[in-house]
Amino acid sequence: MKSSKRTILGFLLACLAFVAMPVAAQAKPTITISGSTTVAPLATQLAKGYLKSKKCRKNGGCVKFKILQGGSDIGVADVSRGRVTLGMSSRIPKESDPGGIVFNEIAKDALCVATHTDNKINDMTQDQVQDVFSGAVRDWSDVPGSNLNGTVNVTIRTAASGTQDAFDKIFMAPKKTFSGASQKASNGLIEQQLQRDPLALGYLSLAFQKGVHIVNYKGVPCTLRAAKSGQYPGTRPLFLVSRGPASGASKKWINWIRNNKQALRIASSSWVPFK
Amino acid sequence: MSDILNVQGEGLRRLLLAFGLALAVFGLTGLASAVNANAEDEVIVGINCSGKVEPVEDSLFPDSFSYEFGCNQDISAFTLVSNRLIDNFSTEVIGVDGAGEPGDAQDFFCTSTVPSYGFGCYGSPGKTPPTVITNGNHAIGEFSMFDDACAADVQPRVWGIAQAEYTSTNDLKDPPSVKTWLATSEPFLLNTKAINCKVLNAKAKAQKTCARVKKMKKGSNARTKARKLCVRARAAAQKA
Repeated sequence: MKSSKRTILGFLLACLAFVAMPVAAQAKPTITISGSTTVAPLATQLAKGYLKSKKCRKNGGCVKFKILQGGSDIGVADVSRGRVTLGMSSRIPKESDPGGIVFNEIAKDALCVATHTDNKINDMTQDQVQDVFSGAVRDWSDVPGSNLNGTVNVTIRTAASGTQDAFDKIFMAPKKTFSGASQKASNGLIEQQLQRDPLALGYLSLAFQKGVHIVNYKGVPCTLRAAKSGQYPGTRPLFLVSRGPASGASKKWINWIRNNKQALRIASSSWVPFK
Repeated sequence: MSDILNVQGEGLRRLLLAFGLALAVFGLTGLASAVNANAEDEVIVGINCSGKVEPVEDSLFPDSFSYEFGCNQDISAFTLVSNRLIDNFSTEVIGVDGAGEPGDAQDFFCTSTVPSYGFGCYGSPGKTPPTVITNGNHAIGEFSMFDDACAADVQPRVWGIAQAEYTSTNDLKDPPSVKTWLATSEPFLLNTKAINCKVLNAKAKAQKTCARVKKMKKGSNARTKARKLCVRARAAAQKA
């Protein structure tokens, strides 16, 4: 009789463990993120930093991240419809954005005007930038400081891009970029175009400067130092967008990004940290 | 063998000759039928890929590695899988040629859960034709591991799986019939020689070795020996 009671108890405990295990396994939240291809490398590094932080590791790994991309507009659309936990955006809110979303700033970025390394143009004023990107000036021989002749191949980002939106607002307003400009889906593709085409002109996030020539803007070099000091006039905020105020695991992560020394160190590698 | 067959001398030689002739006849027949079978079968062009993983010295995080691979077909997507947890990866990957020059519009975006055992990358979505990293070009990117690369009992390994267009051509027909379809390659192992660990799981081994010290009788030679091994193991763990 005793042994059958033990057997039943053991069986019940095993059942309980079987039920409890998947529940325990599901206890770790997943933060899904989509959006800006500019913010994605920063978000991925911050995700890693958070996972490695003492607080997170102490709890057996406190969270998982699922990282997607698609452009700032995709991030805003996804988070507003509840498809992801957070959207990444490299632009400020637009009037046309859905209601109920909150743009949580996590860092700043500098937008740099850039050319092929053969083009030695040192500096461009805002008027010069607007003239070339709007198509008013079409030949490099008409751009002061350029050593090249030939049609300027203007390269910009696609419509879903927060970088394009930021460039329009910071550099171009009230003028518009040239409708005949070549459109690229990411900083990487613009970087690539500038590396290959001596006549190309484009703009890039500060973290994408490999093999291209960066042009000073309004007499200020586009460097991390100038961006951090506030001297460089082409900086823009980067955001993690939440549906309503951030809560739970997302809130903890955003607070960590804004306040933790390790997070600020990660952000300062190629961006301007929050503090 | 002669014992088993219970034949000797001349008998054995005849048997072996007969066996050899049979082998030759059937072998030729087999070869002919194989040739005939190939002539009837369509030729399928498969995908072959190769690459390597190397450590990155000046990265923001320790245990950071660069990867590079290429295939004999145009790749429209790929996945890298490791036997280690990965918690960071390049979110954008460019296809480059042998001279390091980027291929035209060969730009992939990468996504994954972190930490996990890999990540997947795809060309610009919605484009026609799809973005590819062309045959002969290499995908180059970086990733980092969640744990110390050598804190396991086996060497770190990384496999790739590439998506490409397979083609089969039957040119016995006139006109030849060509079929194409998207498929993934078999997993190919990237060369990880450069990241092989000299000592695997050094810390755990040191802990196990040192735990033996207390089990030995105090003052005994065995305890002294165990203590020496412990010191050596700890030194190796520090170096690793």
